[in-house]
Amino acid sequence: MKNWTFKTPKERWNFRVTPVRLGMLAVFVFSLVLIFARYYAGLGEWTGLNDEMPWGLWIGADMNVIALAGAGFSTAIITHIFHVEKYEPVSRRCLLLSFIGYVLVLLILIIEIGRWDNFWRPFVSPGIHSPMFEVYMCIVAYMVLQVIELVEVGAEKVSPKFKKKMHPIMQVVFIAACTVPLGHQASLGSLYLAMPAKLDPIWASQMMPWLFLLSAFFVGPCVAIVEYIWTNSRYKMKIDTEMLYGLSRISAVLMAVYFVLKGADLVMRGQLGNVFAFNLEGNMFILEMVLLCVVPIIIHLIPFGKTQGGLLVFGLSGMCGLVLTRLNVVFTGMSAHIGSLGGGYFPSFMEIVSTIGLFCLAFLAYLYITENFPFFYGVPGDSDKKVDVETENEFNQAIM
Amino acid sequence: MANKVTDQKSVLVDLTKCVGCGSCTVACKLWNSQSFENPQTGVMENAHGTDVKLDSNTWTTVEHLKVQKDGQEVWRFVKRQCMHCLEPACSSVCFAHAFHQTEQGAVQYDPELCVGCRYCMIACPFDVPKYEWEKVMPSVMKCQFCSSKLADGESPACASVCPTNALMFGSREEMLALAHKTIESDNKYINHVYGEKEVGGTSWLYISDVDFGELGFPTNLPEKSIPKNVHGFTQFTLPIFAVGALAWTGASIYAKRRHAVAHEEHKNEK
Repeated sequence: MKNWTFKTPKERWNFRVTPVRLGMLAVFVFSLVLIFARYYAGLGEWTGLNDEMPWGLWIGADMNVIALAGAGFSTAIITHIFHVEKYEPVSRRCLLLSFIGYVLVLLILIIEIGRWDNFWRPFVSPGIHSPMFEVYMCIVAYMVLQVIELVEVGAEKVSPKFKKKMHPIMQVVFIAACTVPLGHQASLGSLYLAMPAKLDPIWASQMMPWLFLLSAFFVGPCVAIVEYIWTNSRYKMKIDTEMLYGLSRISAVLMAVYFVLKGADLVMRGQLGNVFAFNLEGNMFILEMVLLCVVPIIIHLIPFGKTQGGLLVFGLSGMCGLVLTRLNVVFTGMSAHIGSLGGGYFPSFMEIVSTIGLFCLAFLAYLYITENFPFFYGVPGDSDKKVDVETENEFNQAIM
Repeated sequence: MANKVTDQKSVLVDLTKCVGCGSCTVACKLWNSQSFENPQTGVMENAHGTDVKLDSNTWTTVEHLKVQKDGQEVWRFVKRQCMHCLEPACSSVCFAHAFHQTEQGAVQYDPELCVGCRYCMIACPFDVPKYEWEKVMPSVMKCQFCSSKLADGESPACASVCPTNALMFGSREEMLALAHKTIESDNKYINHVYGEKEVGGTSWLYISDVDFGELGFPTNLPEKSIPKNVHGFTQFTLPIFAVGALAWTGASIYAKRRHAVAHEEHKNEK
């Protein structure tokens, strides 16, 4: 059997322009204008943030993107640590997705922080007791590791020789890259341990960091499933529902664990009554748990869960549930306290547009990188593996 | 930079003695060279009155409150400023180490180091730090406990001008003793020294004849300090990394070995 080296796409580089892509570019450029305005006039002028609510949409978006970018971390653990080879087609794209997510987080943060020129201060004046310090350091370290992993993928196309040279260090890089996110995913939850009297007791628990870590882990396969179905149907590639079903099983089991842990946490702290108090906090929490755990688990258990549509609903429900868990902590859980201060918050036009604009940029980056680098197939150069030539040709036609 | 607090100072606020004159708020503005303009609206405002709020220009206010006492409406005047926690949340959550305590226990902010994440604002149990939202390069603003005056053995500007002795300044032990003595000497007082135990204790202490909850003080604060609460998790940081790295290495070696064995068996079957 001849060794297969990566051939797609047939042209060496491909920068397809479509109306949708132009539209996204336009939104991004427009958001840049507003972002410059914010740098010129300050946060007060252009955002809805205020003394009572100093963290808003941007922090909410960042918390979510970091958690969803956990897809890179959990799929890497499955494929590079436990070496479950059948999931390799998803882990590589999730690495890219996750890296782009982290870049997006940093871009949003550099608009969000008041003294962006001081971004380097924590490196020389470390506040080691702050969960924020751990989040920052872990994200930076993780991104360095991700760059190494991405260079390896890029080298596959540009310089296979270099890729071979990198081989000896890769297992160490993989292990490090699977360890570091344990730090920041959990620390994101511990950020709110500093507000025990402000955050609604439904969420304010010492369990929060562990729950954040667990949910970021199990939502990874959800993101992977949604991305895989969306991309593969777009590029008319084969959709291996059996493989996806296996992935969804890992998620579903951990969702059940999460459900039990969160339930036990509420019972032990005597907060179960607040959940069913039929107020904003209680209802939002129920919605969060239904989307994050109940719906996906039920779908997984019925035959529908094995179909492409079922898997898509599984993934989307898990993702929406995760988004709600984070937004509920940032907004719903804090709203009563903000209200008691006589404050309120609604994101400004600039906050909304800049967030959408940067998401468009991230989306474009993902499209162009995947269309130019080997992200959509299994591990090439490995003589044990055959590539699906038919799919490869279809892929070339689809992106042309 | 990280001074040990060796000479913890306190101000004891006797809310029954405050007449709401606002002298302390003026002294604060003068000592710290701050204008009376509201930073958002630009309108000149007093820092004492019925509808006053701390902001980046106003580090202390005296709020005039109409409250119920024994079935009657009465006025009470509440001075607000940074409480200067013994274990400050702002300082512990700052990832650029922009806060530190002086020897006298004043919680200081260094704008040079601040990244502007505003975690201190949201973490403060008393919602004290305020932001210069109107500025292009903003800083966090809050009462500094007149740290240079304290270092020289003087009382803070506000306490030094109080005409009714509602603000008493001294060492924290003295002020706590005075607070308890005052409460015992007169049964009009509520038996609670606010700030003695809240979030691990604060430099500023309050005694009152009206419930603190009615006067706008947060009453649901734990006695455990915020840094200790956060440390409940951050103590696991290094163990998590160690256990994680070891577990992943072990799992990786085991999984590879198992694959190799399976491969071998597969070959033999052929």
